[in-house]
Amino acid sequence: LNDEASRLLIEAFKEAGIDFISYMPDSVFYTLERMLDQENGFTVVPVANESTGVAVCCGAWLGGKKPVMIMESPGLLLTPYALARLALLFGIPVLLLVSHRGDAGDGVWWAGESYRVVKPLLEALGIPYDEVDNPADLKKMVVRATASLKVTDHPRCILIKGDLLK
Amino acid sequence: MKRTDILNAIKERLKDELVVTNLGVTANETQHIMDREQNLYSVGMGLVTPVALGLAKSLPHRRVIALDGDGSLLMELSILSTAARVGAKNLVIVAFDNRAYESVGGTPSNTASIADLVGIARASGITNSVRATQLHEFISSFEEALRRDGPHLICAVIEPGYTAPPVKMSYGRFNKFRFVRYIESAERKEILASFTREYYPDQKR
Repeated sequence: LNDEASRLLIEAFKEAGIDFISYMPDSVFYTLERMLDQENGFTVVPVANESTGVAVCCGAWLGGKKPVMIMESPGLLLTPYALARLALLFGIPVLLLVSHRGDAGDGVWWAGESYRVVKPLLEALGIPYDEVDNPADLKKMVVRATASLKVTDHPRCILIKGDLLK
Repeated sequence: MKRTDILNAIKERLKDELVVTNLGVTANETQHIMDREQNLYSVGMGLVTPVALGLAKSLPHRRVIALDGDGSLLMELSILSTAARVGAKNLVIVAFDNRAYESVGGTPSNTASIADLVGIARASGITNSVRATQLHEFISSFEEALRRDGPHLICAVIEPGYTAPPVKMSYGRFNKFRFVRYIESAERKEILASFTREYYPDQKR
């Protein structure tokens, strides 16, 4: 995610009312994470484990925040426990923003297997997901996904793909 | 010292603090002794203190108490350094350390032999970490944790076993709704969806 896309994402968070961000450091979101360090208006909790981040976001929602958990797709594989045992069981709508590593053109060998597993995993959990590969669609998708979360008690995921992974 | 001794001591000192509990016996005994709308029960192992941290960062003017356990904390130790790093001043972690996975039969946990939760917490940056082996020690530490900035961890060394009778546990979603309705009312926030606006768009809730 380049500077411009990262700025777009921060604008999207603000427009969508997202005010609580947890993230597990990820190279795709590195610029965004550094920008968030400088931003006011968000409560930011960097975590050391993606599953923990989901649980922290669930607590934030219970406390009245609109949270997003940012991570890369191999890290998403750590989250089914927190999603099934907490978010889905209690009915807590958390937004997951995931860089879908291993997408066509990404060129990283280590994401190959996790790439293949991510969508079936989300489908098995019954978590709806949207895919975004165009910077022009970023803001719209975040605002739409957040609007859906407001009227449900279910997590939702946005997969960042294609040129946005650069 | 029994878990119920600790819970009775906590009950006498609570005002509007939020409480997040571990599963199993801790959830059962907490509900039996001090059921209140500010309690969220039966959060899964390894998730209790993370949920409490999310609440604490969202509502920094309120104390949030995690009633966690040795097995649950050992499952997700990184939350201790995360809580310290983000300066969760209003977070109080009470770690019931019975040195066993009691709710599933009593298999010893790592604290039975080698792991030291207070040492781990201090090394993770939670400098306000203490061990309480006697009730008066716990009460003193808990009162201080309610008074002074944290995060705090109190490792309450308790006897294995349980004393409260089984209660009809609160169903997770029902418990969540009650908890969230309390937060909405007390904090004047809208958390749950309001569908009224669809039909009466000009009216505020």
